Amino acid sequence: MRFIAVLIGKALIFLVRLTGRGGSNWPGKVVRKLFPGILPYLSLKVEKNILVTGTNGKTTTNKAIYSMLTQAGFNAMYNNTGANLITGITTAYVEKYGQKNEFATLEVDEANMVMAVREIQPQVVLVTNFFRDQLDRYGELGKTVQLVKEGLSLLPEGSTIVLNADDPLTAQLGMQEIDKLRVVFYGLQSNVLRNTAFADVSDARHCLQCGESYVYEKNFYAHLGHYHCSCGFRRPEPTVFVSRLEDRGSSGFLAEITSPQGIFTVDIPLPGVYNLYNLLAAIAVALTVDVPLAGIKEAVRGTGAAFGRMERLLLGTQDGITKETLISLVKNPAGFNAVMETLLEEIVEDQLLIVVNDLDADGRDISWFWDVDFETLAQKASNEIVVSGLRAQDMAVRLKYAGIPEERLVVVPEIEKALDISLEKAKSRLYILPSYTAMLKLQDVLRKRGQVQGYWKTEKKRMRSA
Amino acid sequence: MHLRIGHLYPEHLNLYGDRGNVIALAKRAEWRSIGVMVESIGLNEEVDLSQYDLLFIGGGQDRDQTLIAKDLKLVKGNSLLDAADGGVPLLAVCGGYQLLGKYYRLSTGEEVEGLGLLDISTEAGAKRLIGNIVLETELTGEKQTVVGFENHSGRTFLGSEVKPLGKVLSGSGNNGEDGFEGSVQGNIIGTYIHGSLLPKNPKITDWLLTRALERKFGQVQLQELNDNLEESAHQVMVKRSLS
Repeated sequence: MRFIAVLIGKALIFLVRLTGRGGSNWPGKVVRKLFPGILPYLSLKVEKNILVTGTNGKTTTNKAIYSMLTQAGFNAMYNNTGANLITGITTAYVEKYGQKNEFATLEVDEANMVMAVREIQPQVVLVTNFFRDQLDRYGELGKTVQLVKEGLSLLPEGSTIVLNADDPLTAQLGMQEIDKLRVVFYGLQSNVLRNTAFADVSDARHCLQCGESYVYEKNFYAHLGHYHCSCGFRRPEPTVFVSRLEDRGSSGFLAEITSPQGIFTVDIPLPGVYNLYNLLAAIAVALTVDVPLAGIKEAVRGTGAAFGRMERLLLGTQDGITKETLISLVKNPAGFNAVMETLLEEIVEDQLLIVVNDLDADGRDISWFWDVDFETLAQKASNEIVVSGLRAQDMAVRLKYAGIPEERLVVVPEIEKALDISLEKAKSRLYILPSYTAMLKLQDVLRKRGQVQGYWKTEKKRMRSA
Repeated sequence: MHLRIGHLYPEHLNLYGDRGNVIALAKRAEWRSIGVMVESIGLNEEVDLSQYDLLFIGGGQDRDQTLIAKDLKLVKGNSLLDAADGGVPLLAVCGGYQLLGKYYRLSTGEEVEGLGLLDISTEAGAKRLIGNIVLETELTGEKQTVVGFENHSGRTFLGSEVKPLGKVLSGSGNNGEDGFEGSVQGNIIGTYIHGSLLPKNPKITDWLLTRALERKFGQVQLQELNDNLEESAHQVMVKRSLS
């Protein structure tokens, strides 16, 4: 029966690919219906399973772990379409069945953690961070944290949890009585970065233990940094941390990592503090499962952005003039602020296009626009800004109230049209900040046009849409 | 002319972008050359709230809300009651709305006492009411729509001293049963609507500003502003929700 279920699953995946339609969830869904015990069975065939969860950075981090594993010569699989619900994860295992993998590394939606841990019984779980995201789905942030905590409580004895020490919400998961688990913290040493310039309407500025405000000796971005509370709760000392850092602007970082396995330097080709955290998290996981340093360093150097995560493309206008285009997904206030902080100097020099939808995958509530620090952008920007997507008008209102004059706001709800108008307006560079489904739509448009002429800076294959 | 706006507990009650309401009040005053000072009023701060011209309180996570309930009762209660008696306009959203009522009954049956400023009471509901919402209100004297997003598990029931803010045309509202949303009592508006509420509903913003200015300076006529952008964002959601 199990074997038949896997065969049916494989056939369904083949059909989905054949028709070119997206949707990596439903083959897994069908197989789970036919044989509910399929995921425990398939994951047991893999020697070590790694789960990656948290609000921001799952896709990029998971992909980095996968490349570190394969670079070091291990056979490994990952859910490469970004399908992080239990059904999509099942699809991934079905698809890779028969491959004799030593490792599986999977990004898992926070709300699916309980099921994923119960069924997969992983050896390692990484929790990257918690930010306010899609509140209409989970209710509130505390609830999301609770779901992950519940998942962790189901881990088999001897498992390792890898946690971000600089995020108090994540760090506290490793500070309670969990004697049967190993905990590894990672973080940034205080002197490697300056304090953030962006105002944070924070998710987590108050102590979960006592409710007092945290005192930050250092604040890297959003609520991440070096913090302590008068009740005694404080940032745990990480064992894997960035001890020296050279910030190379939009080209990324050169980072010295200190770890129990030694001190080494990695060349990170992605910009943004959040990407630094993504790669550091991946390194901490790789060290946990004994990936040799050479493999880690090689993989970090070759890291490409996941589609739409600081991805750089060359796009042509309708007259065939090529403009450098950078696409960076924005899905919540902390992420939006982080992207703007990284790119602010560049964005204000040339054309910005913001595309926001409010479909399920974006989060239907767009109230979070008001928590993004657009006021800082408004102080610096002097160009027109194009806004698009299902909530283009709402974004325009937000920017108007942030202080950008109405006459500099170009509202073009239709995404393809907005792209063309923005490409026309761009002097040499276009910066596109799309919400999730808007990003998929852009990807679609670009694929249909075959307009992608090449890549600059990062080399990578574009992923199929999820 | 000058207005002093007090934002209650912005550090704790900041869950759903409700600060957009304060931004909208401040901007629409500034665009009319009315000076504005926005002040954050935090936990444990003893302040004379009747010295403010406008007050705002938003919604937060459950944990924070318990903290605030205590602070409202022990630290700011009398001051806020004085301000309300003196006619200071007050907008309360979601959690803040519930806290102004008589009580909140938890799913355990336990009752958390509220401030009793609004003649409303709230009970915990099993299912969260989440989604876009459209109302029809007559707050300003003429019928108009209100748009936004609701996300609450509490079910609020109105007493005889409050009027609903509006009739629900699409969505759930106060309790998902009686077809009404929000409460208005004197110069106090309580509502579940996020979005933020005020930026896309400039008529309500201007109603609050007018109440604040009248109380301070007597009869005022607000200067008209160009609301094309706000109006188009508003209409997109009216059309989408009612079609």
